[in-house]
Amino acid sequence: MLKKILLIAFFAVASYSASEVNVYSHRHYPSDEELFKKFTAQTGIKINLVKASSDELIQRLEKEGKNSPADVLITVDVARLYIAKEKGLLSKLSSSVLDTNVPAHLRDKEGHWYALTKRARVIAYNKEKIKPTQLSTYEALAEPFFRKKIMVQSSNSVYNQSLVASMIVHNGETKASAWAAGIVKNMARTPAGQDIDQLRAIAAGLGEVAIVNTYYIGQLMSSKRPSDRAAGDYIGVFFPNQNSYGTHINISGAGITASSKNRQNAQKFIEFLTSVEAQKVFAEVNFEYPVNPKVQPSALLKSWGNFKEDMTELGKYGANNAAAVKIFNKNGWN
Amino acid sequence: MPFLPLNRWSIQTYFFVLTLILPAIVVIVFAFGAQGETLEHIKETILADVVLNTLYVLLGTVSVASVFGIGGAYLTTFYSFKMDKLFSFLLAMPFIVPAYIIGFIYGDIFGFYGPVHIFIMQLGFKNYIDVLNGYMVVFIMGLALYPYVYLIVKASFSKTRSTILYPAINLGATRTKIFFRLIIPLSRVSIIGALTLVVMECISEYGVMKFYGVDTLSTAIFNAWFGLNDPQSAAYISSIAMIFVVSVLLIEKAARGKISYKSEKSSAKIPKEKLGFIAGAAAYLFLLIPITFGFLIPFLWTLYYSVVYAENIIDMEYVGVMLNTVAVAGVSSILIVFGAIFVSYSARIFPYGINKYSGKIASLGYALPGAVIGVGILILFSSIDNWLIAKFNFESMLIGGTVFALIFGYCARFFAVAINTVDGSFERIGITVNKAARSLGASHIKTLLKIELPLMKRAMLFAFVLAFVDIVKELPLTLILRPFNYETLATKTYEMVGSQMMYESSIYVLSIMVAAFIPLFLTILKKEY
Repeated sequence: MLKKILLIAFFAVASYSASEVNVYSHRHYPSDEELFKKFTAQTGIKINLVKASSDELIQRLEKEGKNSPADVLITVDVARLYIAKEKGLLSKLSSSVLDTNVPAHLRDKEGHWYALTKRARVIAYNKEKIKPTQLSTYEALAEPFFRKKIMVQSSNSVYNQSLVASMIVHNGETKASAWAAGIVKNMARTPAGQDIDQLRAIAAGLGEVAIVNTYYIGQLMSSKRPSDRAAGDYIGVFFPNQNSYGTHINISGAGITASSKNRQNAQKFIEFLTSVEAQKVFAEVNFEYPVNPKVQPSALLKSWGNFKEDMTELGKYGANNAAAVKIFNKNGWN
Repeated sequence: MPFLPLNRWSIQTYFFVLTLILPAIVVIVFAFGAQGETLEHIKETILADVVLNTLYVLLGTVSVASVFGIGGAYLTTFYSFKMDKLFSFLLAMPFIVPAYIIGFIYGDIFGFYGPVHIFIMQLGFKNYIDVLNGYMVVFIMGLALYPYVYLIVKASFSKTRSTILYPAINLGATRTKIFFRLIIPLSRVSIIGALTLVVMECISEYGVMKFYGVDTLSTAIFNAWFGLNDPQSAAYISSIAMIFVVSVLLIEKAARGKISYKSEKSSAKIPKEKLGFIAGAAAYLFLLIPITFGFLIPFLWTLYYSVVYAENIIDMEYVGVMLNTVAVAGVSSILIVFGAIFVSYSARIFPYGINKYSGKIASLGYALPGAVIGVGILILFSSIDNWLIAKFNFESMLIGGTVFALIFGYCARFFAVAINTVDGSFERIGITVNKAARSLGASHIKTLLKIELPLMKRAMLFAFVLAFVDIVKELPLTLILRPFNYETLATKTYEMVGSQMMYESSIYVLSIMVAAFIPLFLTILKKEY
């Protein structure tokens, strides 16, 4: 009897057929869903979507284990992809399409994940108060010159976690910790709000430089709200560390789950997201840098100029994520 | 009296309560064997700060919520002034706006380059204050949560009878004295009960704390779990949050234990006193603060952007989202109310040992952040699913990632909201009714169904509405547990929280307000709840 009931329940619940791809995604932009619809129209493969933060989606994947219905995990931070891989939640994928579409430093060496978009974590500055010649590196932001001038998000931000992880990779843990201590000293306020709030604040004169992701600057400058565009007029964009290891970049990326039962469709889906057609949408609508070398960034991003990016193997940031959080906690970066 | 009474009622109650708190227990059990090093790190670095911050936020929020909640209930119950009915109604309205929405809206309105800042710049002022700070957190949480106090305490105030107050008035006691010596003590059960809800909501709040940069126990749980990848330490911090809540619950139970309520339907209600001109003006000013900041401003902001950015939003998808939200919240709230009646009644007829506290124990889920309860349910349901799959060779998961998981999550989390009201209602009915029916030979269940439930219709409706509104507003649990392609009004607003889409998604915020407003309005129409 129990078996019968369960069988009925099973047929009522299980509706995941082979012509579908089940996606867990941290990306939550309306343009993504337009892209998914396009993919379905082209291939007949339906996309089923659960959106939440990467940390929670990784928990869900992990707890569901080998029976998880998910085929693809999409995160907005490379450390989360690394963590998912370490937990054995992603599986290897080899695809010549992906190898062409995604440059080597933007994908996992073993093919567990591939970048979909890039974002640079840059120094935004108030053009009336700071000259670009006064800016140089992330490291320099810890110097006394910037006392009470820095705006930055809280340490809950995965982007800050990966930035400090990159500091650990380049300069070692001790120096990274000293750097964090210097930044805390130089903060214009206790960290709060999102990246875009830091930009509005430096435009208003609370602080003079902000550490933010590029697409937030794009969003502010091209906002529908006139007040945001007015704030954007004050903002300059500086790519730090051009004479050393390059500007820190992070990615939004995707991998096929270890439990995937629709591997072929999942692969097609990720390949589609890195195609010229999809990359154009990412670039134009969200002000992210495309990963496909054939696609140009949006005009606004181009106007900030080309830059040398940090070519460190991104997976290393994931390996140093917990150490980075400890550095924040130790130095009172809330 | 036995510590663990064992009879049919109590055993069923234990089973029920255990099921409800299983997600919380699982998280903590799962965490046993804490890694010393990470935990030491947390203790050395952030723990003291987050405990203190949590205390400050709690004290501040409870104060703000008490002043507006009790003050509002007092003025609208015992005094008459022009438009007092409208004011009683508007005072409840902030309840329909989720705290994280109030938080975001104030970040927008009062933040840099928000409308207020622009206005001040136009006046020629250069300097402007930064609103992303702890004081704003207290203000926002106070505004978002005082309606619990207002609604619950007003229900209690309105049952104050003239036989109690007239002697005091006739003996020449001042209004202040009557308020502090009679009205407050008479309603202390309701007041403390409502403040318990405020404390629990406040401890579990994550969105507002993160946005305003205040680290509390709730943000520390995320720091440990996800940042440091150490669920053990996260569970340790969760248990501190639980200790906070258990202390408050014990205070509440103690307050409740000493008092025995009797309904005195025969004696008349106290007539409302008319307020003079100056007192009236002061009352208006006082009441306008929570109404304006808790409801009018967030509502108008949302309405404005809904209109400005409305681009063919009302389509089939929107209708589907609305239906999802209302259906799941409706089913969950009904389950919660009946569950609360069952547990409360069991404690009523067997008020011994642990059974007496079962309602409180079942409420624990309310004090943990929604995402933590969510992970507990994931662990639970996935284990069951994986076992079923291994045993019966099913091809995919049966209960994980279904609406059922979501409904269970809501029940585990929002049981506390209903049990409070139901407990209070049983106490007001008094135990005599029950004993009389029993002595005439009626069974427990018959007594409940035929005698007591009919007396509790309003309380049941009120408990339903409280749970319903909370579920419609709920976000983190829904995000982590929802099935594929499943959107509620709250998850739609997640786009507003997570990215910079808050203006575009304001129609969904407006819809949350409407979905929450309708049942609340119907309850208030019934006047007494």
